[in-house]
Amino acid sequence: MKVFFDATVLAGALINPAGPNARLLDLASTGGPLRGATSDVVALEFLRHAVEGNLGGVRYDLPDIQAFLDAYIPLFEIAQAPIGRALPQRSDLHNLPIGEIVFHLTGETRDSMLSNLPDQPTLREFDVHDLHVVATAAEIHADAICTSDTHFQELIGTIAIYRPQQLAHEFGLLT
Amino acid sequence: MLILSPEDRAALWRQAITSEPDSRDGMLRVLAREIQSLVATELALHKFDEQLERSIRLLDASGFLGRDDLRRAFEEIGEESEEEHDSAARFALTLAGYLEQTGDIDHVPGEDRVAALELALAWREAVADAREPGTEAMTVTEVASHFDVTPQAVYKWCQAGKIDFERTPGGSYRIPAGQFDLERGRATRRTREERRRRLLERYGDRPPMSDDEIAAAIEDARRRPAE
Repeated sequence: MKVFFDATVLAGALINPAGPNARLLDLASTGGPLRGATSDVVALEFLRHAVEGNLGGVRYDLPDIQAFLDAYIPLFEIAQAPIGRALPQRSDLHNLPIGEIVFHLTGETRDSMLSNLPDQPTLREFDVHDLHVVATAAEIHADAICTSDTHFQELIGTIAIYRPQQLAHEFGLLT
Repeated sequence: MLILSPEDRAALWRQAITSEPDSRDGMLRVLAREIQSLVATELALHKFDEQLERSIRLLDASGFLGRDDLRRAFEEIGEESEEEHDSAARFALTLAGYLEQTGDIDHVPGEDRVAALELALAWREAVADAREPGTEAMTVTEVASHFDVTPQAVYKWCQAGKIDFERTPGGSYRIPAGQFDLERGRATRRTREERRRRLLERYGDRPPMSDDEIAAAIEDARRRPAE
């Protein structure tokens, strides 16, 4: 199972270093049944929140963040985001389902991204800043996105959405 | 030293976890000594007395000492088939799994959480040192040891179809090693453990945040520049 992790999971692992988020990233870094990936864009967003004190008011030192990211180097060997968070705010996209936008942006995954269009949120209901997460997950053919972000609710194409606790439980990391 | 039967071990375990505060300390020490006598030879833990007693006390503090699968793993040490000779390692990895979870219990003091993580790593390294994994087929214990999970997690992977496995005529699990990338992440294992300890030492006293609170904090931060 290939899973794409977003910035909420990295932040969860930083804040609770022995918690479910961290244990998922550990397992996903080690070549087992959970194959994990994240991207450069996710890492940069995470870095910004951590050093600016956006995570519960604690400003994490840069060397600590660097050590944290170094420990998960295997997760960054796979994905580079095809689009950045600074996607132009094109109003013509806002009423389209997320899968259709991702298909147009990446052009690679028609079947997987367009399979459940009526059930998918539109960009208006989603968050343009999270579009890079779906696009990267689609491009690396991830089976699932793991996130605590509640904008992600339903399947997007064939990409399942997991909360960290749910995924950790599924892999027997919580008892 | 007399080795207790599985039934007597179960009784000892129950006495320890239900004992009153004035006798609890002594009961936990007796339990730790019994465990030591059972696992020391197989895992070469002859100087592990202190770590073992500390492990038991930490699990008592976090509440995990009452877990049934841990007690069962204790009862099964030495009670194995001809095909399986790793009951001590299975117990050690189950213990390590609960020590790791102790590191995430908010009511446990920060220094005890750090100690629990260090002990979890020590137990896992003891198992890894004692057993060279098979190159073609691995046992449940070997897979658990390699991926730093409990044997129970590996059984779950098998039952859920997350990994391929075969059953031997005796009913044991044999897991083809070729389905894993065993080199991936090996170099960063120690780095991950050091990172975990460092973060707990430096930031462990800040208020806990749930996953929902983290997601909300990130969303707030995204909105802030636009306001």
